[in-house]
Amino acid sequence: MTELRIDYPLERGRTVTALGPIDLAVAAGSFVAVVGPSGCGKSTLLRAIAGLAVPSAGTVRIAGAPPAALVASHQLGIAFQDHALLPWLTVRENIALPFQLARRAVDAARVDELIALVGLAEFAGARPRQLSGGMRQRVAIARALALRPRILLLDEPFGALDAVTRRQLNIELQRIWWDQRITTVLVTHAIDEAVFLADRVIVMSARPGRIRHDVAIELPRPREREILSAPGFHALSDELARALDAA
Amino acid sequence: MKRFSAGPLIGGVLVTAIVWELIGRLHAFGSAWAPLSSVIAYAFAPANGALLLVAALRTGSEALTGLAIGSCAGFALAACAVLVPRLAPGLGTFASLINGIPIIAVASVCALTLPHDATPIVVATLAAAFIVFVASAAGLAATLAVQRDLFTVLGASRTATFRRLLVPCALPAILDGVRSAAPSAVVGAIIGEWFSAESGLGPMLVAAMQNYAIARLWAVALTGALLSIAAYALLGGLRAAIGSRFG
Repeated sequence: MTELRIDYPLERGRTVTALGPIDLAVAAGSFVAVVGPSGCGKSTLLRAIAGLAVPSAGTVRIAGAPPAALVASHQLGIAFQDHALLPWLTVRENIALPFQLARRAVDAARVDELIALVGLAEFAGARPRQLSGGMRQRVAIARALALRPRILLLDEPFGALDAVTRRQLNIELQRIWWDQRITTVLVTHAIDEAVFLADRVIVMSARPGRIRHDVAIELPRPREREILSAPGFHALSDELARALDAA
Repeated sequence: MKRFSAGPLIGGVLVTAIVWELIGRLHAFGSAWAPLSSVIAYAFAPANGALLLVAALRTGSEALTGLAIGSCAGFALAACAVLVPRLAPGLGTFASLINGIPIIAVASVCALTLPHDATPIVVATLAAAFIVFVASAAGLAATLAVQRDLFTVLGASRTATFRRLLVPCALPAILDGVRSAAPSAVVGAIIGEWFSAESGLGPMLVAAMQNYAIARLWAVALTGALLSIAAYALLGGLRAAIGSRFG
């Protein structure tokens, strides 16, 4: 994205700048996490990448194409803090939904593969209300991966979960990402989550959100639970916490 | 799901029956208030019971037909308002205008312009359509923003969004509307029959009133009420069954 800026209208023709200007390039196949103070525009940034927020200035390009082109070709995957599962569909049907919306035949093997990938084989026929919060988010992530998107957008997908479930899902997401290697942008409040998952962490300033720091995470992959107690992990977390405090 | 308890229902029916009987026996509201026992005695006399049943079946089928057509029309209007937002204000005004015409006036105009058999159905249709329109419009607007965002990012067409998100989300509200419209359809059919039909509960009511056949008048009224209650209860059962999946 180049010189991206997003303004929101206020009363009497006035506007407020929520975001930008921002210049950011994300390498294909990498995992980028975005952290920043509340209200700094992290989610707005993600919405701009998804084509849900229209830039007031600047451009967003994904592999050279605007977000609308990727939406039209069903190459975007997204998971929100609210799982947004359809309560009348089963786990299997929710994961198959992107195929139907793209007017493609449901690839049953792919759906089975994703159900297995997120560890819900025993719950394939269950409806969302029969699942725990963590299970619902796993389904939401599996659904986002269904069409092998060019880019995966995660908007605080674990923000509403308890700390234990969140850590477990971070480990699972890392494994899933390592397996799929899809370019991923994660918005999160949690520094340790960002360090554990990402190749690169972007620290944003308070509103209007701008990139304040860009920190490379050079921890070895695949990352397992043990890395959470490694000195390098803590050093990076501390560095990011200081950057966030200064933001 | 909350368990159904028959106690309050039986209690309410008993209290109503006792109050009805007492008012009739004590002539608290004059001689035109028949005691419940005499109404039941009239209804269970073999010849009278058969007459009431035949009339109730006719009125019931007209009300059901009107309810079905009215529900489809109400839903179709609401769907048009959602799919073509520019039409929404006009359709809302149109529906309110039609609903604002007194049903007696509608019935008399229908009796003069339509085949006799059609009047009860048309009046029942109009009585049901507005209620279903309002319920459908509210239901179709009740999707979560995050669900709409998901469908947008997944590249869903407007038709797919309508069919796979809006309608399933709205289904409980639509069924609530159909259930609420059922008694109105029965009343509409009876009023339509007053003006044009030769059989059904409407003509029986008129004949009983003109002949001051008090027990018969109350028996017909009670049959009409039971018809409405039965329709409401049956549709309530359907709503509960479907609502448990879609609600």
